[in-house]
Amino acid sequence: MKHFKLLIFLLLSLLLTGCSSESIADRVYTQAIGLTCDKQLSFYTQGFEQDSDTEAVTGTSIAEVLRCEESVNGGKVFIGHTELLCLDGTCTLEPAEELLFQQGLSPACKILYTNPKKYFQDADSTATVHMIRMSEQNGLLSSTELSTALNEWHGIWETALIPAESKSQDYPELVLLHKNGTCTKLSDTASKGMYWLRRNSGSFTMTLETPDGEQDIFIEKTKLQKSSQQDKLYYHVIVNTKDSNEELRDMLQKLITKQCKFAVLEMLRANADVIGMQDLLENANIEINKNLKPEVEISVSIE
Amino acid sequence: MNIKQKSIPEHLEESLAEVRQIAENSSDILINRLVIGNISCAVIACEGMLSTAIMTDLIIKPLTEISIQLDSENLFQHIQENLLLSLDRPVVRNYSDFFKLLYSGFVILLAEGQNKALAFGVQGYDKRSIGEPSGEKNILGAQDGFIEAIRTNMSLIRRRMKTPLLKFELSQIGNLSQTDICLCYMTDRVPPQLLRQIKKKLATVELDTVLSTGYLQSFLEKCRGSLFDSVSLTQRPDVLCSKLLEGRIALLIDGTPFVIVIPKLFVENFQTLDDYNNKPYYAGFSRWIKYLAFFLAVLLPALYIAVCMHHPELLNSTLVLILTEAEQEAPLSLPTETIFVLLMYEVIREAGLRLPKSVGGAVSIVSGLIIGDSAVASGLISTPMLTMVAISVIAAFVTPDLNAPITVLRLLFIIVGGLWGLFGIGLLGMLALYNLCATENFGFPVTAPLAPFISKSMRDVATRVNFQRMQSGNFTVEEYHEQNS
Amino acid sequence: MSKIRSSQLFCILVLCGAWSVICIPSMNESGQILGTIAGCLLQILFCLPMLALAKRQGSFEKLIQSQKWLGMLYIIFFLLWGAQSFIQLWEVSPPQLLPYSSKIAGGILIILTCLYTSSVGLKATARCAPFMIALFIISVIILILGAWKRIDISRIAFTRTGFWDSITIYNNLSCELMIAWVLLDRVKGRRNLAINSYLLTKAGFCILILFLSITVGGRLTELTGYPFFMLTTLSQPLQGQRADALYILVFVMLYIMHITIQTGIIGHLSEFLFPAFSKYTAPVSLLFMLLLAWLADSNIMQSITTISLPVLAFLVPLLLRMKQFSKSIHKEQSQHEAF
Repeated sequence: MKHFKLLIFLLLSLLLTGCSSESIADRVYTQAIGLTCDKQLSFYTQGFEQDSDTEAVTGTSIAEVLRCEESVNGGKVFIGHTELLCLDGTCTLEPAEELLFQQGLSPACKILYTNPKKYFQDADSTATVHMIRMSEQNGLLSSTELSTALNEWHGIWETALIPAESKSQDYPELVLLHKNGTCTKLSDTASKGMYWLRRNSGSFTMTLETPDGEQDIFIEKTKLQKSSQQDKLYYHVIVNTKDSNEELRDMLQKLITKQCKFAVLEMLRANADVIGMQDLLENANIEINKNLKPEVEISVSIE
Repeated sequence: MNIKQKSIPEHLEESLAEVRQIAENSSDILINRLVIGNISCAVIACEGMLSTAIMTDLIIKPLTEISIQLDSENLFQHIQENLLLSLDRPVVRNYSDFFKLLYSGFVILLAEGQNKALAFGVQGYDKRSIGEPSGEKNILGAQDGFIEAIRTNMSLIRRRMKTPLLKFELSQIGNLSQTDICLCYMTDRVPPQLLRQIKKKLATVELDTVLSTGYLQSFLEKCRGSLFDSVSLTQRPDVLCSKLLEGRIALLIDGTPFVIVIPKLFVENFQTLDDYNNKPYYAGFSRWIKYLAFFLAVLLPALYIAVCMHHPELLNSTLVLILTEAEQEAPLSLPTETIFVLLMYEVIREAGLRLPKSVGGAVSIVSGLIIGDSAVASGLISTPMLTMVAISVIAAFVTPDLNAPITVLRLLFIIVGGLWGLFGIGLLGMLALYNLCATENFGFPVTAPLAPFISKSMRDVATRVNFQRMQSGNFTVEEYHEQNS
Repeated sequence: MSKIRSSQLFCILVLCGAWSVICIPSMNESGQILGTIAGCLLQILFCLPMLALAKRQGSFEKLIQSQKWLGMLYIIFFLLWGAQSFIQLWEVSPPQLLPYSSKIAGGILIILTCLYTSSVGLKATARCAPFMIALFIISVIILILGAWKRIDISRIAFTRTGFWDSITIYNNLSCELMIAWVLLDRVKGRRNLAINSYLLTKAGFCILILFLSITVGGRLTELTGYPFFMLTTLSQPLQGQRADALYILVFVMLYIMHITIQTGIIGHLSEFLFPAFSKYTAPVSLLFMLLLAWLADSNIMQSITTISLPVLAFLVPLLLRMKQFSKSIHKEQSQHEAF
């Protein structure tokens, strides 16, 4: 009797394997998604194929728009491999959190400040993601990921550093995007300064304008040391290079110092913190409020 | 009274009539009458069980050359003490022993006026020659293996262990078959409690016949519901000797070339003789390949199904797109495809085992064409899934002893992986792990020396240290025994 | 039940402790690191009476055989703890973890598995524990590898906030001491070392999770409520894919082991109290745990286990030890007088 029951159980299990809900081919894999919150939530998706169509759906919540997207696309939308999240500033924090913690969006997903409707009409998200990654590797852009942005939006100043589409240069420019949607564009100098003031470390070649023309210097490694004393914050950037040309090193130091100072100035003017000032102030037991503009001292050493 | 327990009558004719009646006039009983020194005698033998040439030279000729006139009692005494007709010369007093010896290849001598018979061991039945064992192949080890004749097997062991500490205990088992079995062990290393328990277990066997190891295996294994064996089988005398040196007990059974070894450890499934012939670094490497192969064999198809169906985020986007394209054309669900291919493989494997050698090659061609080529080309099954199953199947060949649990577990994992993803695989993984950990035999857990963990034994589990370090171990399997089991 | 080794006891306790740490809520203050260390030291003190008793074989079993009502209390404790574990599973597990949205369906699958695992005995569990430890260590290494690049030390603000809360939380989730107390008579080898090693390992794991959740998650830790699951989401070792689904394996296996140990101990205690019915204890206790989890109030159960833990794991051994000590002094005195 026992063997008979076991046999029935095994046969039923074998039959059940055919009734399982989803096959890998039943899902729609998205490379890029876009969100806007103009009265209603609008959701845009683009697949991995270059010629894939973008359909926008609207709804009141992330779960609802995903369900609508399923009925439009004929398969469950899977955002686990999504590499790019396009935001126009109308919705930032809560939808992004839900996408990360409830819907399985990768924390390493890149964010782009742009109008999703226009972007998805003609842009190629593969090229965009590639451009962002290469810019980060070449020291042109500070690394920005969904998890980093969410952390910054949860700070006192509620502002995150996000790349944005640029028409004037080959790489994205940086913007300070507030949780409420206001956006401040950073200058090119300030954007480059952000690279040194945030946790980036990589090796790349920088081109410096010298009296003798353009010269390259290879940056091996960068390190950032942060500290606070009373109400003053100290940021010390250490750059490692094997280049022994003193003039070039001197030029590099001056350039990085200038870039960092520009970055801090524009950031404070925009009432933002994307360089970890809040953590330093908390460590120093200083009372923080949104209007606080702490004194930031920058120093750079080339080793 | 059982007729076989009846003692042999003194009257020769009565005795022969009794023999014919008990044997039911079986055609293989040969009765030859002769007169030895005025006493009527009969020589009885079983056709095919002895060498007629040897019988003629060693038994018939010397008996017929006895010229002195003796009575039957003195005749038997003369034959036993003065004529060395064979090395094995038991005295038979009842028909049970009579027929046991007769069918074992002995020649029996009956004489008028004697209520006993003399038996002479001149066995000469045809037996297979010693050759390479079919299942346990290796590159650098010996090429001889056990055969069906128990005494030949005993000699193969004795040749390698020329020590008086090696003991053989012969007995018979099976009410009808009276099969010879032999317990073999090293007297200085065997745990006495283990030996007692095994003998006690064998005494409870009430089978009519014992034709292979499987008949006795179930009596010697304690855990009935276990997927994993707690006794091992070997066809190699060199492997058996190494296990005897560790204090294990071997059970040889006449009629089968496989020897049962008790107790067994799970890690032994991953140890081969070549590990001890290769250099330690390579032996360690090949050991880990075998461990990996086991996990691939059991889990690869299930993990593939679970990841594709429930957790595609574990794969990178390029791989996902390739798999999606491959699976789009397949008409069946992934688990169904996998189970279908695995079942086909099992059918082909069985066919390959049963077919005659001359058509064996055709099986591989047909199976390769049908499954490998046509099914994929027709879109019935997808290439990535077929690749996973093929890797899993080949990985299973690395540990042939575990073929049965691997086959069953693989199918079960596929089912739960398809139904519940990694959650189901975790649940079944715990069930399988518990099943393995609960398997023990005579107080020896199968999971030793991993659990309970014995660090000293890792030198032959995690790696294989050189013999200079191993020789000082004085290791016996009694170290793994858990008392009060 | 035959003896288990001290290393096996260590593995069992660490695995149960790992489950408790995974379920620790809202640990995002750096002061909680110090609180955890203080909680660990407090537990070492808690264990002293039971370790002193362990030197004399059979203390717990003799106690249970003579005071059967006490044995019942221990059984009730483990039933409540088991029910709480089910509630923790439903609260803690992220939506992607359980294959069914219905809690009961997931619970039934787990119970079916635990029915078998608890039927094979505590000895099999003890043998299984080292394998599980290896898997657990591998998962922690993957977690660290994924979190490594995202660690930002500046997020740690050295404050005393959360110090006292964390001691309370840490001690509330330390019901493994009851397992240690119940099994101590059945352990051979260095029991003191096993228990102290477990306490230090658990504290170390808790501090690691705390440290990583603060330095990696930062302010995001407050969102999810359970730092371990936030860490598995954010700590991805590879850029192109999410690896948090792999933790499902460890999570499920840890949970099965956790429930099996509790059920096994109930079975072990039942052998003393209800020997005729001991073979039914596993299915009955599992069903009872599931029903309690579904119907009873989790806060009440939490309160009962919080109060009874120090009483049953500390006070009872302490009183017993004091009784033994006074007996031995009395005996010495009477021997001295006789001499």
